[in-house]
Amino acid sequence: MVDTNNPEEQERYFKDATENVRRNAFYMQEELDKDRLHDAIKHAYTMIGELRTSKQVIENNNNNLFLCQCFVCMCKKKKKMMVTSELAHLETHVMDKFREKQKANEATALEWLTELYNRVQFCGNIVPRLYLLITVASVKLKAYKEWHEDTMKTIFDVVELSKGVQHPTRGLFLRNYLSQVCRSALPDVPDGVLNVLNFYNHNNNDDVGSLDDHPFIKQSVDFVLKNFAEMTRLWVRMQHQGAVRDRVRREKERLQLRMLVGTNLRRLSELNCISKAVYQDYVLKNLLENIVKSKDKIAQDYLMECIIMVFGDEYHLATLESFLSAVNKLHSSVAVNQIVIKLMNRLAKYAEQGADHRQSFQDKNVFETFEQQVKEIIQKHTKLTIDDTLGLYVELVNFAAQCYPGKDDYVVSMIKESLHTIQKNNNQVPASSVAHLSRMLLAPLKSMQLRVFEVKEYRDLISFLDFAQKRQVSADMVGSLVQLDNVYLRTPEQVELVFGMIEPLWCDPDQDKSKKHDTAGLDKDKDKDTEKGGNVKKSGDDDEQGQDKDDAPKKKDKSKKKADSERDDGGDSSCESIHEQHTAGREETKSSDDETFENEQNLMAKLIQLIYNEDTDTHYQALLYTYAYIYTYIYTLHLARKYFGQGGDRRLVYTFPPLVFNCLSLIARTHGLLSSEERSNAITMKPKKMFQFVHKICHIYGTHCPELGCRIWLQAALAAERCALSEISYEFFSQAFLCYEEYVSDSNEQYEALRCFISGLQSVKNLEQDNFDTLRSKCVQHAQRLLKKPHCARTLALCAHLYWDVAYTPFFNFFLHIKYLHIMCIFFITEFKQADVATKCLKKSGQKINSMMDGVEKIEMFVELLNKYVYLIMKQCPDVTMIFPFVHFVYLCIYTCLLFSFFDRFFRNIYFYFYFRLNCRK
Amino acid sequence: MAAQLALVLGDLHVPTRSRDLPEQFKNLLVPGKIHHVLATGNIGSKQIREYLTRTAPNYHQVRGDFDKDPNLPEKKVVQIGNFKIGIIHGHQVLFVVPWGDTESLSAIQRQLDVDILISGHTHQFSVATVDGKCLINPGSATGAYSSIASDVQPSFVLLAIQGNSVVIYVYKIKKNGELDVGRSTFDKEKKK
Repeated sequence: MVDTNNPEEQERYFKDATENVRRNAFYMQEELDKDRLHDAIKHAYTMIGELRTSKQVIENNNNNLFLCQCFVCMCKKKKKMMVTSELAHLETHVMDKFREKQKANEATALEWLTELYNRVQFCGNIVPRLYLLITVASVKLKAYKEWHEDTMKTIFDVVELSKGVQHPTRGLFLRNYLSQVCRSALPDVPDGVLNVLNFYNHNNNDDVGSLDDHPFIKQSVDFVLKNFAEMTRLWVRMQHQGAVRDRVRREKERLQLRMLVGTNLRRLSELNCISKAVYQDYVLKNLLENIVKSKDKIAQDYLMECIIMVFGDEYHLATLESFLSAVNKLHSSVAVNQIVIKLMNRLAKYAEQGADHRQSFQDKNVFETFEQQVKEIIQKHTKLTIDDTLGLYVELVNFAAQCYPGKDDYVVSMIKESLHTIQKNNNQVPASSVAHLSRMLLAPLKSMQLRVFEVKEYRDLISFLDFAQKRQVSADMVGSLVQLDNVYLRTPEQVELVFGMIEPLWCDPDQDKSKKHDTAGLDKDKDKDTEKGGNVKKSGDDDEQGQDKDDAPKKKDKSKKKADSERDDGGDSSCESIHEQHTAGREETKSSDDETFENEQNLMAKLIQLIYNEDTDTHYQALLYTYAYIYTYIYTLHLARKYFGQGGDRRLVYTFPPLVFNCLSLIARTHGLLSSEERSNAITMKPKKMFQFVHKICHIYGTHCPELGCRIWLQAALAAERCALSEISYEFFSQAFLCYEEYVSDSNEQYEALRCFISGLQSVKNLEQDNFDTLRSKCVQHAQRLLKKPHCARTLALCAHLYWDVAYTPFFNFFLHIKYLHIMCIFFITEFKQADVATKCLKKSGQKINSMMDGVEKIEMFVELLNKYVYLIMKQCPDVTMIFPFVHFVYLCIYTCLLFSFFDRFFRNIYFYFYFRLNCRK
Repeated sequence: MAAQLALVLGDLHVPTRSRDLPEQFKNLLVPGKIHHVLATGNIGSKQIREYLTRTAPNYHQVRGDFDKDPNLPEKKVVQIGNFKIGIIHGHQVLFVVPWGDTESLSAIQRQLDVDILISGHTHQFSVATVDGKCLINPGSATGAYSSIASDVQPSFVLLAIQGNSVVIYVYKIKKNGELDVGRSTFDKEKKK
């Protein structure tokens, strides 16, 4: 006897056994090749016998032969032991032999097979005998072309005989072998019969046919069911054998073997003959009976899950009640909540796949069945932790959202229940339940959209998370919101609800003062405002009289006003320091967190774009609210100086531009409505008012991000220009210049910004003459001050356009369209087209170029400049003479011997202007 | 040789002015079919830029007026097949009002000496042939708001370049949400 506790000894013995198997397999193969079947069977017998002895000897060894064999059969990954595959050789050989004999004479062949079947029964040991018996029986099963009574008898015979092996592990493997060899040969509805019901009902009777009309098929179902029942019994028995102290190891072993039992269920699902009706009436009943009867935790846990996994969604939908009633009868230690969750999950996924699937849920009320079930579970199983309970509710919410998208009250009632559960637990949420809460917050978004925010309990749920979790969930929520179609934040109320909930996205966690988990950020801010004293209010009241729609944004406006005035009073120094801090802050926040932050803020920007309402007034109100939310937070930071440059303004860079552009598009829409004069009386918020709002935002934004700030000022100016609000437009233009003067210091950025200004100004049509003059002389002034000479020269050349080539020529355009008169109109040019200044600009540009050092670049610049000259001449600008730059150009070209190539480029332009354009006119 | 496909788009302004590319466009832009992306700038966030770089192996972008990245070039010339294609954003082009005037654009086209000049900024789609050269403006691919254009419709352009001719496909989403595809051809002038 081998010492079972000595691993070396075990290892050695295991090796011996393996060697024996291999040797016998080899001999068997050899005998088979020599066509000596009986000798082969003898070797097979010894080979299988090895399974038996080895099992006895190293019973305590987890890594025993049986398990190895199991893995070989099922995964075919480990090729250590190949007993069953060797048996397959034997089977093929017997089969071949049989076919050979069959060709000669069918009757004798069958006789031979029966004789072989009887012969193997003489083997001494039961395990090898049964293995051999099964092998021959499987040949017998396949031998007949048609299903035959005899074969079915043999099969059931084997199933009965297998009862002889009552050792659990050996029995399990034996039966697994049985089900494996019979797999493909069992009688079944043939493949390709699309409607199984039709197969049963081929007589076209009204009553749906059943298995009873087809005894063979019924028998094959019975065979699998019986095998399953026996295997379950063996598997459960494993638990109760051996010493109590081995329980842990035994349970581990059982879990390893569970696949063997589960395979039977897969076999069942693979049978075509099991239609929905057959499953409902016969199969499931039988299975559940067996499972309930087993009264074993591991078996019930696993097998119930198997049933959910293996059979189709529609089957589950049809048999929901009987399945759930079986769930109620399970052993009390079984995690029934997990089983119900899995079933709900499966059905929810099914509903998600398509609208026609969802239709099948409308016929009967599945949700209420589940709800009832969950309630029963919670009542009955007092051991359920809060985690489990919440898990159940989460799945119900998800299920309702997926399967019944229209029925909000299902979701709402479940959310209420969960909140109630948490409250009963003294408002404590264990860390393990955080995932449940997040899921519960996200699940209803798709079906309920913004309606879910109106549920107070839903909003309260988020308060049980800590800041980081809140932040994560909020980002996910916004992420799924912005992907939905036709979802808009239509009213200030909606803005308040949503923004109140996603607080972590627009503010930092409070460090010194403990901020309670409240959603009412607005209320808090209101208190702040009142604290600040009355003087602000008084000063603000005069301006804000027109705005009596809502109290909250009004107050916000006041606080903004105050902020603005404060900043103005504070003077340049404070602004500059802000700017410095800001740039410094930007550099140091290159941490890993940066990307998450950027993504979040981009989501916020997208969320702001959801603000939309047909009614422009309400839309504007909603925008005001949004601004109030974002800004008041930043403003409180601004008060508590120490945060400045770290928290609020970091966000502002992302969230203010979408706010501005949302408002600008609203203004365009309002302007369109007003000019169509249909319902202009109904609009109380005029573009003028809205531009004030834009002004405020731009002002704050400009101090934080001046480069983009000037461009946004410019965009706003152009928008005002389009609404024919020339005064406002001028104000925005001048603000853009102010922003540029104060904050833009990088020379490249200056160049970029100036070019934007010039091109913006050039398209202006409605500005007052004086204002326009101021702005364009500003351009020239700044252009001259640019540091880099090429920049300076180019910008100056562009400025020339401002004095000649402007859109703002309503009077002269009229003349320009009349032939011959367009030459006359040159003499009328007085104000807008100032040819002398244009020429001066070009001249200055030429001088700048001339003072450059690099020869080649110089010529290139000259070519560009000459092109401008040509262009202006073609636009009938008087006084423009190209002599000065041209002479320089020619001189340079000769000097650098690059004459030809640059001349070529120059004349190509000349050619284009003179000939091509003239041709076009004709 | 099979036609080279170049996707031309710009002025997405994600997320400051628009949420994302329209779903209909996203369905069209399957990775692996398009060879080049020519972007006229103002693309927006990093994610959308990464999305575009995933769409095709070659990605070219110039700097728009709202692009913060100072490393982006102001103009770019790309050779695809027999065609020399220039890309600029177009806010620098002024000459004649409004932005994107053909005359000023063709001046840039001559300066860059390209066969096709692509520019954006106006948020209005246009294709023009001037002096035997092609000027393309793909419009805004997301239909983003613009202060200089009203009623912006999402549009982009796909160039199929084969030999000496280009087929220009224009994809537009109309107001009623339908996808509209236009097609025109541009042939390169043979050099005398």
